[in-house]
Formats: sequence, structure tokens, C-alpha cells
Amino acid sequence: MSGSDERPSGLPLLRALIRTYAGHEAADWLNEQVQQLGEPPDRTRFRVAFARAGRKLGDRPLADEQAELRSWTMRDLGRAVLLLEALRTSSDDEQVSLVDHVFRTGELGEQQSVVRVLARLPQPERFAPLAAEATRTNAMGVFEALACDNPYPGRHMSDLAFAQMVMKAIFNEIPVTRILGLRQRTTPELVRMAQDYASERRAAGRPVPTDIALIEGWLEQRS
Amino acid sequence: MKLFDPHIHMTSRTTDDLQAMADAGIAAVIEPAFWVGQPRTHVGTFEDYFLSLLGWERFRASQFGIRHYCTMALNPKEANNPAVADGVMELLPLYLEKEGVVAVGEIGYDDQTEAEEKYFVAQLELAKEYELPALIHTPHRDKKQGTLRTLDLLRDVGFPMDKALVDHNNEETIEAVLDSGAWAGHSIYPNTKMDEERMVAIVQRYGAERIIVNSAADWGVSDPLKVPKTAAAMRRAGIDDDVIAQICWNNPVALFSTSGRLDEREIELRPRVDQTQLWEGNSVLRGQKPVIDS
Repeated sequence: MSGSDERPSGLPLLRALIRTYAGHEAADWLNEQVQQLGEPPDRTRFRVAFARAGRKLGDRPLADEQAELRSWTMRDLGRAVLLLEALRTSSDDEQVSLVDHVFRTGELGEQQSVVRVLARLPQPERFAPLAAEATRTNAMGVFEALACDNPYPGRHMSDLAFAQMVMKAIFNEIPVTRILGLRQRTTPELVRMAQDYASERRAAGRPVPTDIALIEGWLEQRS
Repeated sequence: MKLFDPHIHMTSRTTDDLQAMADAGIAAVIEPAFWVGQPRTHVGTFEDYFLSLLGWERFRASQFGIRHYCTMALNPKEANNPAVADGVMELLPLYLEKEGVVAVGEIGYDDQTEAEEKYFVAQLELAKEYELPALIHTPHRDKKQGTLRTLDLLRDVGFPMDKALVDHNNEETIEAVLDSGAWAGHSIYPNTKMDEERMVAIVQRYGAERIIVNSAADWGVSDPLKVPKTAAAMRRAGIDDDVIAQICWNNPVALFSTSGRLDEREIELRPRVDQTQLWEGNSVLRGQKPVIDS
């Protein structure tokens, strides 16, 4: 066993969800794209399908689903299927290269889709640098897709990258209760950063976000 | 009184801003090389951006009577991108040679990663080699820690503190920066970072020595008139014009003229405006009557 996460991608579940929620036309279109990808997948064909999946599947949220899938939309679902299928026939190196490429050349919606599926990719810990890159974005939709309702950061990001993501969430008034695994990943260093931020706000005569007290409380509970 | 904004991203601003800046007394700006809102994916994109700082942006500003200087660097955020970092470092020796490049910057920490530190050190070494000031960005997250680490690094590398401008200070960082002998920059923003009233309090407490004020106006919510507005706030608070002139003109001139690329006498003279001029066939005008100084 490598040290990697052995959780299944849930590809059969995702495909079943497509059948349930997407119309026939969209589901058939998706199947066709998967079949035409080639083994290994042709990158241009993949990028076209990935981009087009937005219009074909639409952005209706999967509101009835469980856990993190609740924050996905139909196009995230379609793109997740496309990506997982493409990775199945790619070498390990090609897998990392493709995901990185799709993220870097993605418009905002595509970037959100990549970030949402990260935890389900094979050997997901390999994509920690990409996740760290995603925390640097100024586009809040992409940042929220990583920080909120997403198991990836809690499971696979380093302590430093995770802490920076939490601090950015606090700064942007995104409730930290939406960050999965925050309680488990709270470190003394993160608490120190949050307390320094509180001090900075007080010195500037600005209100201190209440989320900081929450983080302090969790660390106390554990020690 | 002539005013200097030594940290402003003109590439994100329109000519409306340039006109307003000129009307408010801004006679000189420095545009630092930074990231442009989202990550670049090719080294060539950096090169074209560098060229625009030296070309179109300098020309545009001159058309409104404003002297435009710039800085060059691999910025802290994009130092984390291995696909471009080394390639940009290779460009720097060429671009640091250009006229009007008054510092290596913006360099520094963003998330305080190892990669950021590596390229921060390398660029401080370049600044030493070229005898240029360093324009240093401090992180907006974990700022106090990041600033203290910055000062430690400057000392470790043996960088001349009197040529280091540590920027984006606040109440929690300014003392350490001033005590180190470095220059302390302050970016005045509408809602975040520093504002005029708090800046007045800082000047009343610490004086004008090595204090610098800028707008850091960029693509986000920001205001290219913050330097004149801060000067006005200082005046309202009863601060002497001499002190205001030191902060808003003499200090940046003194620091950046050490680069050898900013002439202290030339900068006192308004560049002659002739809006019939073109840059690469392009005019700033869109049907207006050209202003031509006699």
C-alpha cells in the first residue's frame, strides 16, 4: 500500500447521479465524449469536452445530495465524470500534468469544477500544490469551491497551506464552519495567526471576526 | 505641492485616473512589477508585461504630465509557480538594466513558503549586485510574523537597510521596521489596509523620517488619489507642510534616486506634454483636442 488515500472515486455513483438528474440528451452527450477521448485521452478533445460540459449540463445545484456533493452543480458532476474517466487511461505522470493543465487553462467555472473533484482523484495527495495555488486566487467562487464543503483541504493540504486558507476565509468573511476538517486541523500556529489578526484589527479600530474565538475554543478543547 | 505616489499599478487604471491624479498634484509615480489579478502561465507573459511598464504605461503617464518609473521582479505569489519562476529570474538581469527601473520589486513573502523565500533571497542578491533599492511587499495574511521574518532575512542577507522599503505597514509592524533602519511604506486604501486618519496618527507618533505613503491602487477596490487625500488629512490635523512634503515628495525622491535612474533635478521639472504624440502608433486620445504644452 502506498501512503496514499484509498478512498474510491465514486465514479459509479457520479454516473448514476448523471442518469438521475441530467436529461437523456445531456447524459448521452457525456457518454459520447467519454468514448471519444482516446486512450490515453487526447488533450485538445478533453479540453473542448470539459469546457462544453458547462453548457450541456448546466449549473443546477445538486441540492438533494449528501455531504460535499450538495455544493456541486450539474456541470461539476459532468466534468468530474469526464476527468475521472480520462485519468483512468492516463499514466501517473500524465494524470498530474492533465489536471494541472486543465486548472491553469480553465475559466472560473472550470476551475471550480477541478477543485471540487480533487478529493476523488487517484492518489489525491499529489494535487496539494494545485490546491495551494487555488487558495491564491482572488476569484471568490473558486476559493469557496476549495475552502467550503470540500474534504480535500482537511485531508491533503499541508499545515501551512491549510492555515493560510483558513486565514483567507476569515479575511473574506466566509464562515469557518464551512471548512471541513477544521477542528481536526487546528494547530497552535493557526491559532497564533488568528490571534495576531485579531490584534491587528483591534489596533486598526476595526471589529474582530467572531470566527477567531471559535478556532481558539477548539484548540483548548483538544489540549 | 508636488506629490509622489511610489507604489501604484497604473496598468489597472484608466486615463480618467491619470487626469484626476495630475489635477490633484501628483507629478511622479512608481509602478512596481506585480501579479496581475490571476496567475500568468508563460514566461513570455511576464516579458510583455515588463515591456508595457517600460513602454505604454510610461508614455500614458507622460501624456498627463506625470513622470513614470517602475520596478522589476518575480513577485511573491508567482514565485510559487515552478513553471515560470526560473524563466522570469533569467529575464531580470536584462530588465533591471532598463532606463527608469528604480528598484527590484515587488519581492517578499506572500504565504511564507520555501519557494517564496528562495526567490526573495535571490532577488535581494540581485538588488545588491545592481545597487538598487528593494521594494518589499509584506503579506496581508499573518502580516506581523511575515514582516519580522522579512527584517530577519534582510539582516541575514546583509542587505543595506537604508535601501530597503518595507511596504504595506500597519500599527503592528511599523516600529520594528523603523527600528531596523529600513524605510516604512504605507498603502492607503478605502476599506482595508491603512486609512488616512490612522496614517495621520502614525505620523504624529513617529514623525516623517523614512516614512512613505502610497495608494497601491490596483485592479481591486482602491483609490489612486489616496496620496493627495492623505496629504490633505495631515494638513487638516495641523501637520506642517514641511513634514507633508518630506513624506509625500522628498522621502521617495531620496530613496529612489539612489538607484541612479531617477534624477533629483529632472524630477522637479514637469515633462512637456504633447498629446499629439503616439506610442507604437497609438494615441491616448479618442477624439479629444490634444493638449500641447508651449
